Amino acid sequence: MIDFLENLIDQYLQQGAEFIDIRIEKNNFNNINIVNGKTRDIISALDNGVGIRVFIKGAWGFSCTNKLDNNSIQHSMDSAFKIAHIVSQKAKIKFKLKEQSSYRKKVKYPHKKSLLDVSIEEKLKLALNLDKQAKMYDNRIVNTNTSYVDFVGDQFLLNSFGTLLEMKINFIRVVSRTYAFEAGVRQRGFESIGGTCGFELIDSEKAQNLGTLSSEQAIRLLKAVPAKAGKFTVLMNPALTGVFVHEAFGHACEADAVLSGESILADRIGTQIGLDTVTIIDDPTLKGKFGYYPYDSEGNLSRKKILVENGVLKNFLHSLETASRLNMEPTGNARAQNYQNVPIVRMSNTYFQPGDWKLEELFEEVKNGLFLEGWIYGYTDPSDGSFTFKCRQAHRIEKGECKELLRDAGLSGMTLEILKNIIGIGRDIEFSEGYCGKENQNVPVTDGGPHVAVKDVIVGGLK
Amino acid sequence: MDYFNIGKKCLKFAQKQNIDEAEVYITNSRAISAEIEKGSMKNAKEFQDHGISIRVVKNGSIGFSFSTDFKWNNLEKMVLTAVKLSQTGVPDSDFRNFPFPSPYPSIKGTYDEKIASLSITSAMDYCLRTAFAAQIDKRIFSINVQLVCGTVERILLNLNGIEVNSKESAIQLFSQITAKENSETSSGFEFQTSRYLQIDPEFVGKSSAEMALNSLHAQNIETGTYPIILHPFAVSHLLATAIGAAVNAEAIQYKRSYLTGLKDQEVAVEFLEIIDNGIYIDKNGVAGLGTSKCDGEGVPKQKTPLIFKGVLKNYLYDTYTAGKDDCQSTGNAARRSYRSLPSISITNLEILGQSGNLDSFISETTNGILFYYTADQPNIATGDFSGLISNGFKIEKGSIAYPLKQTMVGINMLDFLKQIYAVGTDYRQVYHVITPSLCVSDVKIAGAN
Repeated sequence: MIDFLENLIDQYLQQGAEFIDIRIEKNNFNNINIVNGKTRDIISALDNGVGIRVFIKGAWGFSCTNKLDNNSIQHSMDSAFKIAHIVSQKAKIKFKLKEQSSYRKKVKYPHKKSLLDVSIEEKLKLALNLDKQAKMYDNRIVNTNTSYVDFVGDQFLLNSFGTLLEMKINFIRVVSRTYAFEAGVRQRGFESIGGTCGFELIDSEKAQNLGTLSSEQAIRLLKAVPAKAGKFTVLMNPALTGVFVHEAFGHACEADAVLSGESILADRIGTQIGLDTVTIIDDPTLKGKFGYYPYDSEGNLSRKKILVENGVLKNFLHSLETASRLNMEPTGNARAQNYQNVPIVRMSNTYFQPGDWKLEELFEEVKNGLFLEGWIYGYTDPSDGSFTFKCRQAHRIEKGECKELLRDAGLSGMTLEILKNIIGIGRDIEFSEGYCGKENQNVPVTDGGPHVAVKDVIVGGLK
Repeated sequence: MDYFNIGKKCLKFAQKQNIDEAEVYITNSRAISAEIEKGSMKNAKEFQDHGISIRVVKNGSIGFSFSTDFKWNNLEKMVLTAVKLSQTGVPDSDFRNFPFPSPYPSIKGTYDEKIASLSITSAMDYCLRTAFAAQIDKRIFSINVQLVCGTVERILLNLNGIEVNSKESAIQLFSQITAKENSETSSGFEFQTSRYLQIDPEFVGKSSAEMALNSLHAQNIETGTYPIILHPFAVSHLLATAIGAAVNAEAIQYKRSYLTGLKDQEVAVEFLEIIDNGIYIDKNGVAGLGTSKCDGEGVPKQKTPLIFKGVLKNYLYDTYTAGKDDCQSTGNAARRSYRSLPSISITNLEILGQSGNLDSFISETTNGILFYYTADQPNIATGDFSGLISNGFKIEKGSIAYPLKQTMVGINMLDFLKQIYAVGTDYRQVYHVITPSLCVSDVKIAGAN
């Protein structure tokens, strides 16, 4: 098979292709969904396919199929080549891809207990137990939903630089969603845990208590009052700092946004964009984290990047294409959800480096304002730097003390203003995992950071 | 490939495995896309995806597996995996049965051969025309355009005798523009979707550019209470969740929705009428994006009144939730492909209007907000909505005064539905929602001032 693919690459290079990559995937996944103690669905499936890209004079052609016989692969290659050829005739922006190092490696994601060695019965038992745990927490819990997902993939990546990677990928994630109801008030709880590891993740304290943690949150929120709208000094908890770094800042560092004219950071490499206490990092080499990967989906070696150092913008995140067009080096940030998608510039494990403030000092510094915790969702417009996040919960801060619990607080602002309005950075750090969506592709990521205090933040609420 | 016979063979094999129910779902799709980045053709793609899945039920427990490989030994493995999963799960007495055959409505206008045969070159041409139409001003800084279109053939078979197939096509053209003047930037977008090759690249290009230009030099406003005029983009985004997701029978049965327990009660202004219309055909004979003869379980699609004279009339059901409530499925089990299980979703949510349009509503407003779009969603558990207005404008003395910066809106959706004071007739199909503009009074707006 490998010989056939390498010959195919040679054949189309001779016909005029400037670069080719082929990704073949054989993905095995399980998905268990428990609702109110019942198995809503159990899925186990094999998803095989190939995605082929061809580059000619500034244009890309892509074709994918889930037929893996030689004829179908040859047909896909031919299709991708023809598409690239047609598009290149209309492409006004011409550029060459810079040749990169090639790697011939077999890589296995680390794990102690293989996901393939654990029976579906044991996985189901885990999900049922967590669902029961969530339900048993309080009789005001009216709905529980527990989902278990695991993934084991055999992925082959070949490119015309000579790279041949054989990667055995594994990840696992468990999520608990709960709903509480009392006296006309309905609230949600959410907790999750995940990583690029094996079933050993389940032995962690958080995984063992996921249902309880989720229900605790939903019950607590029953007493919350709606947040008041206005401009506040706020203290963000690590989960919110993490999502701010990812959504509001990280996306603007993606060099495809820079090239398409959609990033506020376009001309700012080397300039001061935040206070000198601000350092932001993207690091896919953190083993076990949900955003870990040793090579990206173009076969570039992954590495740690300092995006902002002491307030100065140092790096963008790159794919082969963006690095070539901006005359920089690839950073190993081209990721594809699967063989049906092309690699695009993505983050991995992105975090705000901790400072030296103690938590109580941060509360004192905020004095009167809001303590914003967690997030439900967030989004950003990298072109003007505006962002908005919906917080999972909030507390009012009065005279440096945490007061009543608030719900439905949303914060919004301009990224660069926030980076300049920071008044204190905590010494702690926490990470949380999730999926990042961009151009209809979802990839696993981790966000992290410390508690961070910021002045002049717009908070939307119902009052 | 003879998908029908392969599906039947899988069903027969499943039937021999001591199971209660089985259903096979096969999809075969082809799609192409083309993209322009910063005014230049950038890439094009071709996707081919076919696969088969099986749902098996034993004592109410559902096992599901799919395969992209149609070799018989792999299909046997797929069936046996689903059988094993169904036997592993917890028995569920709430499960009744998969649907039985019933007559389907005659639906036309879901498939256009012109989309099936659209070439990459033609797709690129649509993108280039859109980009050209967007170049209306030197302040237009960046033009990004994407066209995606494709076809899908669906086959559904179950052991109760349902055997149904259908063909659908769809196209989407999307334009995203950034405008720049001095150090200020703004963005605008426009798009069209259709079952037929009936899109207008000149409109999409020009309109997206105009929105970006009009949004330059945004200003903060005073926090306060204002009437808001919602463009169909904003209405569709809010009501797809606040009505569409909140009337989902699963959300109701699990008490996850703020509309739980409110059936047959007044939840909106007396003149508000909303229906879920699974057989919607527009005046040109083109079907809505959610229109087809049956849903993802083989239940005929229908028109389901959701709000009539301000009263909440129905929830949306699949067969499982209908069994629990002892009623009939409303044909709302949606299914994207063989990879996914059916899940309850709106088909085409139609908001029926009275009179007026966006321009007349603006001209009748002395001091208000034009709310174009938000990416935020209401919390369906509480009905609370607080979100950022992206692309919004201040209205003063009957006309647009200036674009808004960092402006947030907050309201509970039950108040929203009761404070609607006008619904226009300027309908637009925004994905699965067909809606005109509408107006809501006394909405809390948080500005930066």
